[in-house]
Amino acid sequence: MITNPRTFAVYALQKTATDYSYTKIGENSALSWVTGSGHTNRNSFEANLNYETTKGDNALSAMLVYHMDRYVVRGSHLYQGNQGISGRVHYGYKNRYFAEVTSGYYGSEVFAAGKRFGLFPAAALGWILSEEGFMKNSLSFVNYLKLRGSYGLTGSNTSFTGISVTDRIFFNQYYSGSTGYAFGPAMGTTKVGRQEGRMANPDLTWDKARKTDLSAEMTLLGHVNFQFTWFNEVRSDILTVDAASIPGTLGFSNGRQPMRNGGEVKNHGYETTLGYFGNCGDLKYSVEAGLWFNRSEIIKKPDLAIYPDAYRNATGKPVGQIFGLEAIGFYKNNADVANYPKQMFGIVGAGDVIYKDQNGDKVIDDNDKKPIGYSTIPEYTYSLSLNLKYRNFDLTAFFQGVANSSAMLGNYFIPFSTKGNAYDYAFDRWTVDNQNASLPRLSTIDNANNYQSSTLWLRSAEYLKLRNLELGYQLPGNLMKRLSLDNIRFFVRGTNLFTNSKEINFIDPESLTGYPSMKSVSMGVNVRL
Amino acid sequence: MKKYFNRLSGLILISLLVSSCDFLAVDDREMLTEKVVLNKIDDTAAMWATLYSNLPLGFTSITGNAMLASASDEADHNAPFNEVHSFNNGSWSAYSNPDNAWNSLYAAIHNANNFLKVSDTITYNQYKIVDPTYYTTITTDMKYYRLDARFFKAFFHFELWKRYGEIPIVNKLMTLEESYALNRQKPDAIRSYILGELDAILPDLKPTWESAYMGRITKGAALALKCRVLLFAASPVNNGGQYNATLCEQAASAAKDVIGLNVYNLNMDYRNLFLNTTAANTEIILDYRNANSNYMEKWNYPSGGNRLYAFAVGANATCPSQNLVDAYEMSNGKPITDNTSGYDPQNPYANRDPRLALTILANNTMWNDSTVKAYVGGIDGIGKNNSTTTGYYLKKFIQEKKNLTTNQTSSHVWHIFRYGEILLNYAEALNEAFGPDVVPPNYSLSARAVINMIRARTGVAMPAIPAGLSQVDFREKVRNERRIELAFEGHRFWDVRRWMIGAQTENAPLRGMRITKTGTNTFTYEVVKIEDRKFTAPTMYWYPVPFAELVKYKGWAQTPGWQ
Repeated sequence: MITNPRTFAVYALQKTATDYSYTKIGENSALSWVTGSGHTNRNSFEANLNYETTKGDNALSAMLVYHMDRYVVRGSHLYQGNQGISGRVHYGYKNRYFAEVTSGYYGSEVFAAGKRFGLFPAAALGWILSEEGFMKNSLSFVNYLKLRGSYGLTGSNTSFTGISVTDRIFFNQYYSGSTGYAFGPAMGTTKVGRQEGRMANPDLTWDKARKTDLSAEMTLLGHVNFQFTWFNEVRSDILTVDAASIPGTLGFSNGRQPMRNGGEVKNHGYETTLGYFGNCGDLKYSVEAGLWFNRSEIIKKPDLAIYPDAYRNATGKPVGQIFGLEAIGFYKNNADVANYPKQMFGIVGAGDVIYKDQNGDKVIDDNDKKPIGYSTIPEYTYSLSLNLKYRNFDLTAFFQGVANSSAMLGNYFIPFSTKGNAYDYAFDRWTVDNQNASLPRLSTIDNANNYQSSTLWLRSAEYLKLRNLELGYQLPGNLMKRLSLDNIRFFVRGTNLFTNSKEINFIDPESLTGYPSMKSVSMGVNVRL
Repeated sequence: MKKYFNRLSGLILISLLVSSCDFLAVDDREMLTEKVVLNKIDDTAAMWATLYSNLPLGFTSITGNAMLASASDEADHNAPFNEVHSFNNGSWSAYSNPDNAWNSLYAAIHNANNFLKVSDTITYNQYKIVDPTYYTTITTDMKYYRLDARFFKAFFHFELWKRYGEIPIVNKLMTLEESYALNRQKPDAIRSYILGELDAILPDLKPTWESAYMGRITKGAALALKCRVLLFAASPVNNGGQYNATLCEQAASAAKDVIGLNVYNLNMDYRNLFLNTTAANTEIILDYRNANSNYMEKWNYPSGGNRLYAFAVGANATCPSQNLVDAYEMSNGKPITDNTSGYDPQNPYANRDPRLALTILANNTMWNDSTVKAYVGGIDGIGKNNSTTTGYYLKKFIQEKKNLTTNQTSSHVWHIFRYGEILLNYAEALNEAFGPDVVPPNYSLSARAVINMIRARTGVAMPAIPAGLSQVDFREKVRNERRIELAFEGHRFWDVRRWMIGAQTENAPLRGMRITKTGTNTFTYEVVKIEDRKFTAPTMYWYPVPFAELVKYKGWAQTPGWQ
């Protein structure tokens, strides 16, 4: 056991008329420390049964998998359990036509008996056109062409995060500690409190996704690779907190409303890549560009309040949509305040932000927050990769970027907010002499009116990054032989060397808060014996 | 060999499938299920203790820890962004209400209903023979726990009624379908439900509890609630602008029953009444037993005086209004508006009702070993950061000379019912039923005699109200007495609604005192407007049902006047 005889107290600094004095707060006490250890245990079992046969042009394969898994964290008897059986039958004819049926029957401990298992079937059809005679004869520049379509149902219980019972098991009614009470003349008779925790919902079950995929894959002229996939996915029965439909009269409010399979989100989009590869003398090269587009729409979201002004509701809008006020300028002077609807976020004056009254009720409050900008989740992600090899030199580069996404600056990015610092864009703040400023007047005391989520702090979160750049040189083979080595390669490698963003140039636009992606340059040598 | 192995694995697989039906059964033995809670008397009793914690604590009852006083003509809250201001600028609505009580009150009712249901299934028969003494103890405990739960149902239904007017009555544990089918009930139904519960438990309730359980529900608390409910039901807001004499008589009768218990007395120290949580404070009928604390001192201390703190204080202050200060009579019993009262606007705090100085901290009075410097430019003056907005500081409930730097705490009494209120209820109700000077059969005190008991409190000693006033004149006397006596105790906000005078009192500008120092100990006083206030009558006499709740029911109408 470690012991430390020294004890410490806390002192408060006080200014007196001529000097400072210190006042002790509380008693001297020893520093404390915490030690801990953890122990987890996972047991899994899996059994596979495979079958395969070929007769002439027919090829049939089938597989059956049984799986069970149990995970326990020491200190609790609750285990996380999964159990399931899944199967796949694949049929091919002449290596041209394919059909596949898969199905899973899965169970999880987070659902009540009777709601525990779900059946999730899917089917796919494929056709390799390039194997057909007419293609081979008349369209010989098509080296490979495959069309594929699939439709299926999948299930997920990933919303049940956390390992404690109250994070996972929502179908059993539990009680938990709550505020107690103290009786007696000096409140000496204390009684602990107890009430029901979150209201149980025994009907909870898997959240589901119905997904349709249509894709084409081809190689042309021996140099071009092209792939395109269109998808449409409807996720339903998403686990939500049922705040918007459980009446307060039931007695479970303030975060104790039951969980429910209530959410629904639609996603559709496409994914495509186009590549070109070839060589030119000693130069070998390949280029590949990729584009991924996904647009989401919330169909149902019962964990959110319903607002009278349709524009405030999350439904019908993308997941992660930003909401905020529309900033329309700054008050020219204190008297100017009277010329606009009353703003309810605090006392306002010269240099403070004026907002637009969206619903025309002559009051600016949370009800005037409408969707502004895009979602925080980008709709477009694109990439470009480049590989060059010339004799013993090689060069690779990988660019990646996103588009159609927005970010709301808050906290650290608002000059001096929460007693913080300021970026240099704060120079363009409102002053009497700088009426056309981009930012409102600055204050060291937090200004709730100016710090509202609004178009003033909205930025495009689009960026393009050079994720990776590498240059290598490999020693020639005859030299290797003399050194009795297989391979020696020298390289210089850089990651995140360059970022281009339209509106966020003062910080990594990819991670406004938290750790930015690391920029690094490294040099090295690979030796293989 | 391989063949056999394949068959063997197949067998293993099949046997696993068969044997593992309950592989996914949850092992939640650490958790408190209903069965566990019911098995342990301590857990069941803990459910009962939670019911008490749902009682209102007025120091922090409004979102953002403001007092309800700041939502009436009693005070202004000095934190500019506090939501309580929306009551005063008229921007509160079905979408945002700083007294956001609907859900929490129904949750409190649910807790009481759940406790009654759960405890109803327990018998403790297993102890009957083995340990008869223990059996008697816990069955007796449970009997009183259940009486308390019924009191709370009545109490919280009344809290809903006085806010929202027509409300659903939730008398039992409901299923989701039952809660969707609820309807807003008429006041008569709500009143008879509440009174029915109270009358059912009154015969069994104890008049007092032993010291260790001071603060529990007593006969007096149930009668006090009955009295308050009846006076509310009898009031103009529930009777088309007039008092209902029959209900007034019933309210007076309930007040008479409280007096007849001979348990309560007026505390002869008006200031100590709000600081003393011991049994010596026999004016407490029911209070919120909150632990010793110092947040009220942190929020309301003026900055000056003996520096008992090393940090800024006063950031969340309830600042008494000039409107209230003006309502205190002169010590000769005359209102300051009376030309013969002797009121001097340039020496405004001299010769006033002593309760003024016991309730409100005014400029140049002693506090924390120094004088309050509430004049313009003074350390406690208007315009200073975290300072008063009205020229006054709250004194009621606030303990003097507490060293906040060393985190010194002390007791504060938040009265839910006190004897003084019962006497005021008696005077108001009896006057409306019979007039000020009448002693009806079966009564021993007139309305006037009772109000004079309050005025005669030691240390207050205001002149008695004379005999011979008309019912209307006496009504004004009672109402002013109530305003003074119960200031900041969470009554005024409801009284202006109950009396339907909000259109005048809450629509008038809130005023404060701008004080200028002219020399050593000499000041000039100027009454100034602090802010305009907006109150729409009759709409704002009742709360709107929260919009988010209203839309969950079929065919519910919003409170009239609200959207």
